[in-house]
Amino acid sequence: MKSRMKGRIIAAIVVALVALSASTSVAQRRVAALGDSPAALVERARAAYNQGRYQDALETARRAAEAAPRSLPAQLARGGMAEFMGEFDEASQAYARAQSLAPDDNTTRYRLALFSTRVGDYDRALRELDAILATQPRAAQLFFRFAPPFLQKPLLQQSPALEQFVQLQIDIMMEKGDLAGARRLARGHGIVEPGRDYCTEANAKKRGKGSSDDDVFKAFRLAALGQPDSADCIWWYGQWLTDEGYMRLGRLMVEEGTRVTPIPANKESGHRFMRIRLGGERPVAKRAESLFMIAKQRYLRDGDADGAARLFDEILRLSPAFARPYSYKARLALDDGDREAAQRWLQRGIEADSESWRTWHNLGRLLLEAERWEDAERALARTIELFPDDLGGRFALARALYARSDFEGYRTQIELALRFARACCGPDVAKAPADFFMKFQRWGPGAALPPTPDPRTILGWNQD
Amino acid sequence: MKNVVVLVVLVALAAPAHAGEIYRWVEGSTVVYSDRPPQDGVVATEMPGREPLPAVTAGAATIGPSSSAENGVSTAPATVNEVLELSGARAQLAGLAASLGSGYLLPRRHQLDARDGARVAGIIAQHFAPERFYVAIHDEMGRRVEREQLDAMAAWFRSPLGRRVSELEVAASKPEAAPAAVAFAERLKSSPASPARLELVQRLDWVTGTSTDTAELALVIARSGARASATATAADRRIRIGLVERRVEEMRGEMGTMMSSMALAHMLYVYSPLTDAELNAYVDFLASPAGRTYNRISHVALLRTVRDTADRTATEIMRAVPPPRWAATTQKISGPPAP
Repeated sequence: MKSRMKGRIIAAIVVALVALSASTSVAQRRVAALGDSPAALVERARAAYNQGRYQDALETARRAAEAAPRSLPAQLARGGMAEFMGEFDEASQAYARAQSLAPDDNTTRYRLALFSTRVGDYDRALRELDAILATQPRAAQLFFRFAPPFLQKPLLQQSPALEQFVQLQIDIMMEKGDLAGARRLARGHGIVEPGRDYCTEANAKKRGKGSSDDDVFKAFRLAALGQPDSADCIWWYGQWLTDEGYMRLGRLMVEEGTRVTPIPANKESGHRFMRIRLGGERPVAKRAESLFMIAKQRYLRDGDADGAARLFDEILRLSPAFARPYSYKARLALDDGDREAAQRWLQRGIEADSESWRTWHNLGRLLLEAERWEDAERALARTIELFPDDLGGRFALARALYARSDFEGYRTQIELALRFARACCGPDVAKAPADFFMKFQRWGPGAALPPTPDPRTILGWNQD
Repeated sequence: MKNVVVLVVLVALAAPAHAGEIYRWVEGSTVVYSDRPPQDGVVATEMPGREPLPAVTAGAATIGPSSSAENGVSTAPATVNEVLELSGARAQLAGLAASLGSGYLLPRRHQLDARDGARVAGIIAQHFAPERFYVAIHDEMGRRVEREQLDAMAAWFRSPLGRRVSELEVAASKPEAAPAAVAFAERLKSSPASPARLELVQRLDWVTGTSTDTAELALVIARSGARASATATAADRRIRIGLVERRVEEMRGEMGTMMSSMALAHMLYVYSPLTDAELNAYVDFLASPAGRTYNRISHVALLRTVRDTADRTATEIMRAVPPPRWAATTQKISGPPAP
């Protein structure tokens, strides 16, 4: 997972969990000095986290919290690691205990604000941030609230912690659905300036080679905040969020982009995106969304298949109509070599959300791998019916048709796919299918089946 | 014919990896195979797989040298035996079997000690017996090829040009042809084939699927090895079988490109004595319904048998020489790729 909003949340947890200035070696020296004391256990948890041994970090933090139930650092360590691993009930209890130990502690409040955001309790999150602000000197509060943007901007530039605080406030308001409030806040703190064309800047970054994904993402976010009429950029931002798993904010942004665009065809596309990629009338519980992103990380980043599987099960219990976890359950089944179980999971996903384009796409490709040509053809035909610009889906459908000796069908699909590929992404994206088709044109059907790349061509339609 | 072409290419591509590096000798009553030479005083013999094939019986079909193979053009009803004999498949399967097993399953130097290495080589030689592949293709053809198609195949293979093509393919599949093939490929860099010849060979690859099938066979064996290795690993360190499969599958693109260029170069070499018109006639036969049927059926049979054989072999190897005895040269497989 790239940083972005989640990155900030994770970073904030890390800030609290780990004293960023302390290197691992320093931490280890401290551990050696402290033995098996709760403080040493917290240090060990921190070291394990830094080394990517997250399960170990959680278990060590648990030991610390159990050994010292009245230790604030131990409770916060446990809460942070439990939250990071998707053990939300445990995190909630640890934070509650931490707050009971130190009701006025700003670190605890900040952590609670982050955690409340994760589980969708936005009002609580904003209350905690307000409480933090209320502890500052009155003059600072007034300055922070009312100083003009040209004074606020250098203040934030000088204080990364303060900037992080404000950015979190903005994100919470956006996700809560108060886009106007978020924009006001961004303007008030000089994060966006009137008259600046953020959308053009974001598009330039997207096309340029020197910008990281994070830079591009942040640029689109600024466009969404600073240019309320930039329908395309708001929409792109929403689609990007969707790919990453932010179903709620993704939906809000795509809805906003769709509302703002004056072009009827774009409105139609926006509605379709919400229907076939964002679950339509099946909104996803925020807690399920957060667990989904954590489960993906445990699976993809950590290779923790068992932990991820348990979280995916919990997500489906919370939001049974949320189609995306079914694809991951299928992936896990495939990892065990159980193709039939994978197919069953995808079929369950389709039962849960019959218009989930990606689930149809995955099912079609799975059936294609199993050389079940007719079934694959049906699933893939449905895939591109839902999303005609699905290049990988169309290549796969072309292969299914070719395998069944429906060469006219193959020709139709491949021509459509190649035309779209040339228009959207240049010739390289479809080189192998184009070469194959050229030979087919020249020599008729060959012995091998057409290649089926699944290129990532359009933001918002890639993951899972 | 595709399968013949596949055999030609596979033998050529697999053999160089280990050809000449496998030694066989007798210790007491045990035949020892190793990628290291025997100690002084022991005389290494030739590699297995190069000996003439014994006649074997599969069901009612006796597979031995066909009487018609030695005849001129015959008009007698064709038999599967005759077609396979004339096509050169029989002669090439010996080399193919040895090449597949040793090329893809035999451990690299230093992966195993001498005794384990020899044990593994012995298991491979035992399983990758040419008869097994021959019988599989024979049976499949016997079951699925119509009389008309069999006659059409035989008509080509009985023809003087068909015989000549088969002879070229058999000759190119022999280990002693390898240096000439390598030299030919080297020469291609400075004096490329004519566009017309290149087009013919590309079309040959297209109608036979040679480069795709060659990569497929190699992947099948790689998959068997990786799967058996994963299964034999201790449960707490075992890699999920699906991840192994996925990693092997990821090799396909890379391998396909490499195999394609190597296969084209090798086909240019094999058919270099033919004129464009002769090669065109051969490609036309391969593109005919009979040629395509032969391709499809023999490919399916070969692939299935190689898969089955590789699975058994790899499992037996892992049983005989468990993973802890292998040097840690296996590629590490970490978490799954992003979907």
